Amino acid sequence: MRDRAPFWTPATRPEDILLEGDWITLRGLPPLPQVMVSGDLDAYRAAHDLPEAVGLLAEAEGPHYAVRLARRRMLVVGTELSPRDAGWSAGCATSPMTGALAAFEITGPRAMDLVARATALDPYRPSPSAALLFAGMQGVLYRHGEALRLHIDRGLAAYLANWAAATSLFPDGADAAAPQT
Amino acid sequence: MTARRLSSGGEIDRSRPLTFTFDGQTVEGFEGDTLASALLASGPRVLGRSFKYRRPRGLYGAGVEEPNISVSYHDAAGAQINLRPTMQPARDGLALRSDNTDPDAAHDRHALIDRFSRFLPAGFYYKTFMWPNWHLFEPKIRAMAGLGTVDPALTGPVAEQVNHWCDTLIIGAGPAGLAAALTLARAGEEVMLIDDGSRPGGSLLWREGRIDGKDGATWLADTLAELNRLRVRVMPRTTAFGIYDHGLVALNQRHDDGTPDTLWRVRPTRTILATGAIDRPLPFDGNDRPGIMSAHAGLTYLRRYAVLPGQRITVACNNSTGAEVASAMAQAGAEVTLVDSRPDAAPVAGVHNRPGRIASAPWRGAVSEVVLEDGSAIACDCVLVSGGFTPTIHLYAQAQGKLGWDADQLAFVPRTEVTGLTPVGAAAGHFTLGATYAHLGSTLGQAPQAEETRPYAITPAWPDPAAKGRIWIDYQHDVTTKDVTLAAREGFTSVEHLKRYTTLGMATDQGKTSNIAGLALMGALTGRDIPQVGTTTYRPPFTPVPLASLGGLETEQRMAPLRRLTLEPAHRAAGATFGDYGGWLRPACYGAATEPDQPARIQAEAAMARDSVALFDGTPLGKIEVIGPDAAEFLDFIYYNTVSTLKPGRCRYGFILSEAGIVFDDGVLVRLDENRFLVSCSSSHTAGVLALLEEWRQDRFPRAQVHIHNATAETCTLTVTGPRARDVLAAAGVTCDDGLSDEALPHMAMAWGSWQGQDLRVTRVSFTGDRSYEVSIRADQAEALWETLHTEARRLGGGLLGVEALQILRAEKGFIMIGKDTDGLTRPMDLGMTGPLRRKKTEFLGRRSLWQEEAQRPDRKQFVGLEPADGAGILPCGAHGIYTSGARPRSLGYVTSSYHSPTLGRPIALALIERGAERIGEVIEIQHLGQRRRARLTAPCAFDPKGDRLHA
Repeated sequence: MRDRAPFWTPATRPEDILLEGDWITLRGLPPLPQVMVSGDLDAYRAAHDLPEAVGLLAEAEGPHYAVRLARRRMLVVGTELSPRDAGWSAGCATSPMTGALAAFEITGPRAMDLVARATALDPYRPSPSAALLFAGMQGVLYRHGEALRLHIDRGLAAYLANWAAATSLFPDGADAAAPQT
Repeated sequence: MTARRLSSGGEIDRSRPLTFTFDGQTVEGFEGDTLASALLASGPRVLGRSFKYRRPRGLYGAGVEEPNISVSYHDAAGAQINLRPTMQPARDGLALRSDNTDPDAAHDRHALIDRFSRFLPAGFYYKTFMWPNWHLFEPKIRAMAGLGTVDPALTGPVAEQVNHWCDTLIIGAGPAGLAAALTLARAGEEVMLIDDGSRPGGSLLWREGRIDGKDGATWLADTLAELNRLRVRVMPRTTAFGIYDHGLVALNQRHDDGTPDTLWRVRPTRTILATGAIDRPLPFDGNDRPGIMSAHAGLTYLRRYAVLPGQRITVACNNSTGAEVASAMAQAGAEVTLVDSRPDAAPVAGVHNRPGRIASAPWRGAVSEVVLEDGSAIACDCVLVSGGFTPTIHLYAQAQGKLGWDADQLAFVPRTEVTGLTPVGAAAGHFTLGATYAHLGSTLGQAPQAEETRPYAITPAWPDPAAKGRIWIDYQHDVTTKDVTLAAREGFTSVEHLKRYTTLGMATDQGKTSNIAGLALMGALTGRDIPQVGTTTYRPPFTPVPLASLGGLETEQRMAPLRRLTLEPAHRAAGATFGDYGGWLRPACYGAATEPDQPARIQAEAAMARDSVALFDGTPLGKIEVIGPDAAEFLDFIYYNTVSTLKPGRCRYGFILSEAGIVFDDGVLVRLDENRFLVSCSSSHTAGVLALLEEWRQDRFPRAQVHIHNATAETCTLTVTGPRARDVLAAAGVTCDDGLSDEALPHMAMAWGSWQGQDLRVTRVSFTGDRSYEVSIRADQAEALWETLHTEARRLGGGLLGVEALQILRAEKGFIMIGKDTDGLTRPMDLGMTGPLRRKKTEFLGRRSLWQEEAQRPDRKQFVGLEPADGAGILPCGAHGIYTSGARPRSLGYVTSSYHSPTLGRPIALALIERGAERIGEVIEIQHLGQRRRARLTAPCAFDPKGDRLHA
């Protein structure tokens, strides 16, 4: 059978991805502790001292926060959860997502230009849910400090790097997206 | 031919000359030229050939309306084909080629066709090439037709697509669009202003006008400066080619530097259509000849590019705008005759004034004169024609706006209101600055003041059905008045039939210059007026859009991206051969870079797994958590099997069916605790299973306390399989809470464990038939565990296992793969699982379908094993079992999986065969590509049928 390895740019760890363009940077973050929570979100937030879950492009603050994904679902960032302890508790279903979702930061004045290439979202009327399709992938997008934070499926991190590198925002992207050997 | 470049004037930069070639001839121009203006100034008038008759053609227009000339070139960005030279900037060093000419535009060897034109009327192809078969003629006809040639080997840089939101999108940066932008931007709106020209200004770049007491050029400069201060996004070289649901407007942006076009999807609150109008041709014999062009195109070339299109120019018109054109040409040094068909036309100073109409333009290798209807002739080398304006209302009509006929303007104009879309200026039928701004003021509440010099006036000049000679209606598709007459005679009088029968308006210009004349002629032929004839349906795109622009970034790796394994670097380092499996890039086998070695390597991996131990990356296996007090009840409905009786820490194999009772997926369900299950599904079916679960949860359990989380990516699943599997785990330091003994962790059980302080989930299930452990660890922590397990496996004589070898191992055991060993008709009973249908007491998905007659038929295809009965090698996958006693062979089913088993030392196969379960031991004939083989039906499981090795 034909070896398909040469066709695909070798994958790297998400945290090793770094693309720098004019006025924009896309950088993979080290694994962020994350927990998917469904059910009684208010009760969970109260029990874990979390602020209101932020929506699309809304600003989250600090190391511990929640991002709204659906009417009864949110992603809690900055909280560790052992898979043993996950499951059903106090009206909420919880699953650890630390390994599942790779987090990226998009920074610089042209950060929203990348978003405009990846999504059809209306930046003036963003959704209460931070879940969206980003370059065709299911993702989560919000602001954190000066950066936009994007969470995507870990297995698609290489695609994100390849996709972003193909835009004109990263003139040297094709080289930068390749792994450093 | 005497077009020439003037020594001063225009937008060109004479200090920056450039050269390019056209059909091998050198063309000189300047920075700021379009390809068309440089070609016009350089001399050659024959720049292309007509589509059907191969008549010589020259430039007619100066913008998107250009129907005659199409060119192609190759540059660093790839093949640029089917370009309108009127819309492309001239660039130094280009090698232009006229499209669809042989060998070039001036000397086309198919020009002879025009002499047989009388034999090639509309509908000629449909009538003539039907016998004996259209396909005999099609290749040759297609080769002669068409435009530029696509080179499939060429690939270029990818194009970008951008989404944008704004308050108002203004399409057209002419006097109306600019004034609207100014008004709205001053009011604080976010405005996007686009124009398909090389710079904003529209008709102000070539027509006279005074606005707010300033000349047009000064007002334009001041307005652009203010728009810049107001941060209005102004985008030249951008064409709005379609309007879609909810006001989405698609733009195609061209770039000067050869960068592929950019597709913009703009979602404005309001769109203002300031797209102007297009000058129509005049109908007379030979009106398609090179040297005959639109009057306003001629004025554009003169004022923007300092190209005087002729020395002896006849300006023919039926409207008041011809006077400005004639005066401008005369002032530039040409000898000009104005032929105005309006009975009350005022004479124009400085030109010869001749009332009347042109009857013909005789061709003697060039236009040398025109003959008027009164028989008099006017010597000339260029004819500029203006037959009145057609508003560019394509987007308005695409948005379902209704057009009405304006009998004063002789044009279709917008009549009904379209929410969120406002036509202004010439697009709304206002052909002077005064009328434009009067309307704009009433629409937006504010507009500049314009000094009206000449009110617009027009008299009809439609094609005469009785006129002699060859009068062109549609230049690009070679439709003449005779073709329209023929269509009417043959009953194709509906405007839609007229279009399809004659191809009028079907070319890449979509009839921008021709449609109204065609409607008028059909009306005259059938006793109807133009509004009664009506218009055809307007559809996007307004102008052709490059496929690269529509494709965007979705090329190469991005066209169908695969998910990538966390452990891919480790697999690459181990020399894996990769394949695409169910949306993942996975190791097919290891250490077999060259193809001839692969089968042996795969066999060796399978044998190794049976003999000692193998390590397999099972990460893509779907892992969907179903959580909540009602999870068991929910899964009882979802699964064919009963799952609520499963104890925490235990696993059960089961099927998920579709509503039709077809096996949708299979897998092992793990009960992690009382309220938490893990649905393990096929790698390629994870998204489908997730959607199915969510659909039924919301449909049937809307208020229940059950939630679904896709946790597939959370963990890497490392499968250790083989007789030494437990030894590898122990040696690697993997521990479970109650140990790794068979009592603590029996087959089909799950336990929590740890490795170097990291949490693990260890599940004892097997897809190979051997003792197996699936160790799931958080994805970002998996690499070290993988390396440790690999080291220990090697130490015990084992190694890595790829997907291909795993296929052999599971086939030896008769384990199915959904979609490979099943098809869209396979039900669980066909796979030998009949118990739940009879015994399960609660409702489940697909149940009613399983009781239908079709599902209960005794002659259904059933899952069996096959072994060759003829001593030959493995059976071909896909080969059909056949029944041969009838008149013709009939299929009994087909081979679904087939391998050489290194364990058994013989071929094995799995198949779906009619009545297979009751025919075990029977020999059937197998047919494949005309060859016949014989095979014996066996039980699916060919190896260790009692399952002893699970506990070995």
